[in-house]
Amino acid sequence: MAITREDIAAAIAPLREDIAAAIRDRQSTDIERIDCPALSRYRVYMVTVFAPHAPIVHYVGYAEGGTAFVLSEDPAAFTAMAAADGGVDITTEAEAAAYVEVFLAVTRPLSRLSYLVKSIEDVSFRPGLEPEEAAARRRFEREYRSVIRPPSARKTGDSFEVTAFRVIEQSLERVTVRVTRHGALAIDAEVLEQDLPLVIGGE
Amino acid sequence: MSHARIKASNTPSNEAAASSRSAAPDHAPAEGFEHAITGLSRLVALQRTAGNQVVQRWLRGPAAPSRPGLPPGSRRIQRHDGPTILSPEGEDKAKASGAEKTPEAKKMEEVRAILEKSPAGKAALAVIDKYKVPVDLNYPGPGSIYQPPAPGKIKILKTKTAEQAAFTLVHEANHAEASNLNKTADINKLGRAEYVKTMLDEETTSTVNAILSKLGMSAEDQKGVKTSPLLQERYAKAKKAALDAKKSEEEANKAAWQSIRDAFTDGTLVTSNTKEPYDVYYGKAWDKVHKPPAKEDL
Repeated sequence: MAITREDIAAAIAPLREDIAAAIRDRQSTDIERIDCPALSRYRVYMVTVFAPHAPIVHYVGYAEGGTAFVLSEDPAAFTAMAAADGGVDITTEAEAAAYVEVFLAVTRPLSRLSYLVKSIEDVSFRPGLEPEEAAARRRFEREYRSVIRPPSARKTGDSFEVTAFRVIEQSLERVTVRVTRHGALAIDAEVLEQDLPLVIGGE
Repeated sequence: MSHARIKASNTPSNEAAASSRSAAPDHAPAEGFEHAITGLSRLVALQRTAGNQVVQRWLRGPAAPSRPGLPPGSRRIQRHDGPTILSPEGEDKAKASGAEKTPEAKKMEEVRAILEKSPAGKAALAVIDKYKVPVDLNYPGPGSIYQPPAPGKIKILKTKTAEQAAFTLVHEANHAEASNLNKTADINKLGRAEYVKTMLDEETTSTVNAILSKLGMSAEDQKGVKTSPLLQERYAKAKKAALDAKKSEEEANKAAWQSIRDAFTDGTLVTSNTKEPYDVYYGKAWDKVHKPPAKEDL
């Protein structure tokens, strides 16, 4: 049977009634499925509320007959969802990288501008830079053009270690995520650059 | 706190009385209400004195009075349960009860103290007090919002420091004022272009007000204030350029406002969670209402 907004809202309501109400509201909320092939039962959804002054975004995990999860900004909830799924079986580096990419997108900071970058072109600089800012941009692009790449995994024993890059406001981070075969995750982040002349996230 | 402000409550008529409330225990029955009370007016008096939550607990207790026409246990008065909504009334309740202040109440006092340091900050406080807009400092987020309809609610991300929360409150207070004055854009009535323009203007003023609440503080008070330094720098730079060009103070303020307005559309400032320029976002919001999407495949 097809999954409906009402199904998802009913599962989320015990956790966050405000999110459940938003999901039910077709006129002012979009809901979009985020593909995550490693999950067998659970589906991940991005809920975008078209609030009057700025968008509100939530990520939720849902499975028919299962416990729902609010995943936004919550790495532990993502791991809990993987455990509840019971069918995660990551066996290749490509699967690990794809899984971590979803994890990073879904649990990223949402109250500050943050985004995954797969190449230097994904780093968003402000327009109209002053000369010294433009010089900083040129230096950054020179140093990081060959460094920033899509999430990539390597096998480490029974687990995988995935390296990815993301921007948080005016900083560039290298993120290292260790992921087990069954989808448990642990994240470390290292700030590589700060105070870059990048676009600004609104209030 | 010594700041002067308008007291607010769910019962507007008690504004004058609120300022002279005496401490009451945070459990029912409150002082002066030990005996059976049979009239709704006494319940309202208790509500005014001790707050909705005390009345609620009292009504649930064994000493709850009966009201003719209602079965035992029926709810007799309108109330709200939320313990985290810190309206000015909530602050009064804490004072009236004599109970130790909650962390949220203490944080709200800090927020008020910060905002009392600048004219723009005081103006924001006046707005939330005038329109009795509750402020929730314990919002799980993500983000912080003003939630209409008027009077609406201001929900501020719980992880923000008092300083960050103060400037966010200024931002959201402008939205609250626009909503309460019916000046905010009506997505159902306006055309797309006019809606987008009106929303951009409102968002710009919210952002500028937050900047002014910092710039309006003394140099000493501004030390260490780090909220939105890039936009503050942009604003100050535009104003200085206008003043250097012999523009009047008013013209310089307009130029500085316009520099922030431009940031919303030129790619400098984007939505934090969807990474879109604000004119794009407001346009999509209008489309969402006027051109509903096709059936979803969930």
